Amino acid sequence: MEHEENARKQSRVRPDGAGKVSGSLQYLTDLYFPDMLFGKILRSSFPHARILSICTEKARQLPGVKAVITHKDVPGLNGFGLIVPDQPVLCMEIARYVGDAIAAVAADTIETAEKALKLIEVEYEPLPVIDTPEKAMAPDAPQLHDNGNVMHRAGHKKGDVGKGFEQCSFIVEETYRVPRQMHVYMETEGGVIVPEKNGTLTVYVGTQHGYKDRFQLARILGMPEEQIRIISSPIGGSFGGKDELNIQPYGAMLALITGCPVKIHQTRKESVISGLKRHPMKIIMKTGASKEGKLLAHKVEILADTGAYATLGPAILDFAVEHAAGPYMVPNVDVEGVSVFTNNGVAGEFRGFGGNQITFALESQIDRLAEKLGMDPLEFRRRNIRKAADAGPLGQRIAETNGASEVLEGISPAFEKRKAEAEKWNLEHKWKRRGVGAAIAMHGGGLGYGRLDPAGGRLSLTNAGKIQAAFGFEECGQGILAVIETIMVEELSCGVEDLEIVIGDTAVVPHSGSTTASRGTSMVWLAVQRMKKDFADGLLTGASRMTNIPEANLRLGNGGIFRRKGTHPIVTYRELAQFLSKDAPLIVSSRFDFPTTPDKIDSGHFLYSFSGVLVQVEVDILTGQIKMVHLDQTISAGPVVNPAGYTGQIEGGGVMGIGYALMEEAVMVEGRYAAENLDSYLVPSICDVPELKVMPVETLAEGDQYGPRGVGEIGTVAVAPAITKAIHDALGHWVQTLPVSAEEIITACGERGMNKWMKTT
Amino acid sequence: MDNGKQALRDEHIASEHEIFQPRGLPEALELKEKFGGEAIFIAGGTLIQLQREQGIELPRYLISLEKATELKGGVADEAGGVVIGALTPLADLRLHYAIVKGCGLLIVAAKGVGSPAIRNRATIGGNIIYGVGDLIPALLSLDAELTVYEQGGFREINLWEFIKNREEMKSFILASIKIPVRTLLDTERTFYRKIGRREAFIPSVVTVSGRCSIREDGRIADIRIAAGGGASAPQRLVRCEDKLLGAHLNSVTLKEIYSDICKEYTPTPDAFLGTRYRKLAAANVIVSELEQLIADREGK
Ligand SMILES: Cc1cc2nc3c(=O)[nH]c(=O)nc-3n(C[C@H](O)[C@H](O)[C@H](O)COP(=O)(O)OP(=O)(O)OC[C@H]3O[C@@H](n4cnc5c(N)ncnc54)[C@H](O)[C@@H]3O)c2cc1C
Repeated sequence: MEHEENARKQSRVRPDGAGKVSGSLQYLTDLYFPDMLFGKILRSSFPHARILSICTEKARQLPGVKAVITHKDVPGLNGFGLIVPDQPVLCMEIARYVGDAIAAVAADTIETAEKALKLIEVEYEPLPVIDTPEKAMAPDAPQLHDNGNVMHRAGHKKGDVGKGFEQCSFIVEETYRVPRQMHVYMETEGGVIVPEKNGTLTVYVGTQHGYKDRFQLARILGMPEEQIRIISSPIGGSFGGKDELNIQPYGAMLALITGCPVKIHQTRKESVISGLKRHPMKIIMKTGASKEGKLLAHKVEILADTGAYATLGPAILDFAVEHAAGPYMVPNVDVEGVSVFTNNGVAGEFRGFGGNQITFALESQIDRLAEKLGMDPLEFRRRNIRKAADAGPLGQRIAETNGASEVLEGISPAFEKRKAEAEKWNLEHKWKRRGVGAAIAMHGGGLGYGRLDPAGGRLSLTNAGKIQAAFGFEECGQGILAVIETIMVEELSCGVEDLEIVIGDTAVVPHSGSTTASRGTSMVWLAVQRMKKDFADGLLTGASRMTNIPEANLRLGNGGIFRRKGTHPIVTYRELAQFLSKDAPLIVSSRFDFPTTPDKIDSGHFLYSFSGVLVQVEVDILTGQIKMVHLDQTISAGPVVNPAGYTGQIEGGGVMGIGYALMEEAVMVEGRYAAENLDSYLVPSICDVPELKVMPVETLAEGDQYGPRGVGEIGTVAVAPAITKAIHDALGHWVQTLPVSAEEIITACGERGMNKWMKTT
Repeated sequence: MDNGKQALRDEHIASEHEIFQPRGLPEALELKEKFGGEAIFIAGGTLIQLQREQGIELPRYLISLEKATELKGGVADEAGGVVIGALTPLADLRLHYAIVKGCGLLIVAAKGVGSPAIRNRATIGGNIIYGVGDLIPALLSLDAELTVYEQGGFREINLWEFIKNREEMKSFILASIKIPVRTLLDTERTFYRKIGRREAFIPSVVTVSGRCSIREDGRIADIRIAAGGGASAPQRLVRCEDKLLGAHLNSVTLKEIYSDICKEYTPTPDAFLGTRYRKLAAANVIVSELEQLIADREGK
């Protein structure tokens, strides 16, 4: 038993690790095919314009150009979108953002394709640009879509906030603003689309959900789904940014028209302009507590800028609404959210899914209230935190969990220690001050109640004697292969060498839903739980028939079937496969829905993970710069499957959170990106990364049947509020806008007379 | 498998651009005069690459200076100063004892440029001609002299004069940079600080550099203050220098000099940070250094 415990704690070498670090692994954008053409997409010259005419004549005449397409060439539905297909594949009349596609070209070199784009003549009539959600909401605003500028409204009410506030001794009301963050996956959108001789299409393009791409592409191409094969893995990073279609429709149409494979691989600039971003939000929160430190009322207004098209915008707003009171039990809550169309890019899915925005506001409120109450911020949280059996944030039943308290208590001891360190350090430094802050978060996994969220997988014994595990997931850097490998080895007791893992190819994998919403690890585990008994029984029955040894005396092991106490396989998997192949091959599959709350509450989640974040920052009084010193995260997400993968997700997510808090913002000026490349859109470099610590709390409620939860998102969610609280601890200044502005900090230092000469003007 | 594609690309570039590798300065200059605005000199080529990535069209004729051996020179510890060849890579500056000994600020400044790969290619000459390079404030505070080659031969020009008059200059090649030797006076403090929007691999928002020495009697004997950053050409804060020269450094002068710096330094804003921030940060850093100088002296 003890031995097993240790084995479990050991990190597995990622099956895809060596290929990735040595550079030998080919991503889909590295593929070349004979006679392959290169595609380029012409994006709109204006953030909002009427298209008067498109003339492609000159471009077509350029030697080397094989095809030029416009809206006229879209065979099926000229639209896409995961929830509603409101985004034109190729614009006909109106362009609504700078990434809107107007035309696309296939040519024999990239340079020729680029030149051809310049030869396409488009006449535009620029229209007024709606560059803030406030402008979009104005009564006389131009309407960007048939149903107006409101993309989605969502809300949640409980008790009576009016009465609640009357009973409060302390109330804090504040407006928070959070930025448009970019995913910055290393591999920009791209791949190759190959028209096959038999009339089918093979799409080698990274995506988070192969089957969904197939569905959307079929609708655009007017082609049966079965004739499209999506190969979607491996992906060089995604973070939510590649769940929606990107270049696939253009590549597909160009491939069908030219009869040649077409490669499109966006440059970073093209990716910035056309790609999704995290929703910027303005969040107004009014929160009140009794003098004993009990939260009594919480009123929230969310205004989200969803940009030009919907994609997953509605679901993201729902998620933010659901998490508006987070892990706290507040008797009176009123949350109202609205997400509006603007001409600012397109906002969509991004690691954290609306949780990062709302958690920043919520945790900032909690810290401000604690200060007003004169109470230790962790103690204040303790007095209001949910108990294991409490209902979820929407009042729905959820899987019992004490995670919130566990992460809070997890960071609590180090909090005092880090504070003492900071105070000592401050005595020795003149121009710098260190401070400490903490925050916690609760984060739902899966898509939530009322959303199609199919999950499943397939186990089979191949003729070659491999135990094949097939899932419709993609490897996008998150380490899903190592997760599948670990769970399979642990649950079936077979060896790593016995396994064959198949993912990311609609021709061979079952439906598993999207690689999103921290659902991968949960889903693999749940699927394997459902399949392992039948599969193992199948193997054992076969082996028993082969050897005449009763099943009860056999077990699965490394390399084959063992006698219960045996040390060598008596039948290898290969031998067993040959034996079984004479009759029916052994295949076990499972299809189920990802667990949601039994209560009919739209978008309500059932499985939650939690994080407790503790940071120490260093503020430069002279320059207003913030440097991270420590980032410690305590995570409650059930048992750790692969320690290295788990740590990697939390650390990586944490660094993404640092970027969100301190430097990342896709600034837009009148609907255009001010930073079109990574020289001015900044992500943290290794020099911005502090000492990182990850502490998993692995316990689950007694009788929990849901196993390990995914940790893809939880590491990013509560980092920003912990950082701004640490800044407050250092300076006494509250930040309410992200990313933290050096100008705001330098001004705050001046106002506080932190040096003799400085006076702010 | 894709070598064929690469060849296609190179051919494509070659067909549109002509590259010259002149063996000496006269030939290089002649080529530049001949093609005028259609030609550009290339030293390390890092800035040109950056600009091309930003969408600035690469001129048709590229004149590489790498084979013009007069520029290589490296570093010489000559009478009167340290002479650095314009083509000396930034990464190499720290390898020369003369620089380590006499102009450590340059090494600090060079270390803050781009990334190691960039510093291996990027030259000190290219950084100066860039106009907003990070080494310029450090060079200004060290009173650097440039030797330029133009029609008619070599000419020496003070870096600050060069910056002010650059617009009027005809074709020229920067040959070398000289840092004059100084006899160390009493208490001296030099400083260099680059402020960016993250820790490393980042364009500067504000860069300040300076050098100041105080005499026995507490008065300032010599002072240089330079500030740049972002798209603004680095400037010497001459009015502040004049005011401080011979003055007594104390908390009153510090307060005054703080507002003087804010007035004299005229940075350019961008979409991320405005002029106000740049002024405050520059003034804070400079004044904190001057204050430290008082402390240094009192510590003696
Ligand atoms: C990723 C990246 C990061 C960077 N980061 C920084 C940074 O942090 N700080 C910074 O200051 N710069 C930075 N740069 C800009 C640039 O690399 C450096 O300033 C470098 O020092 C330029 O030198 P070079 O030799 O590469 O110049 P080149 O690119 O060869 O030339 C630059 C300019 O100077 C002219 N020129 C070069 N040498 C001479 C000469 N001897 N006589 C006359 N004209 C000449 C060229 O015609 C050209 O106009 C960065 C560049 C990149 C690509």
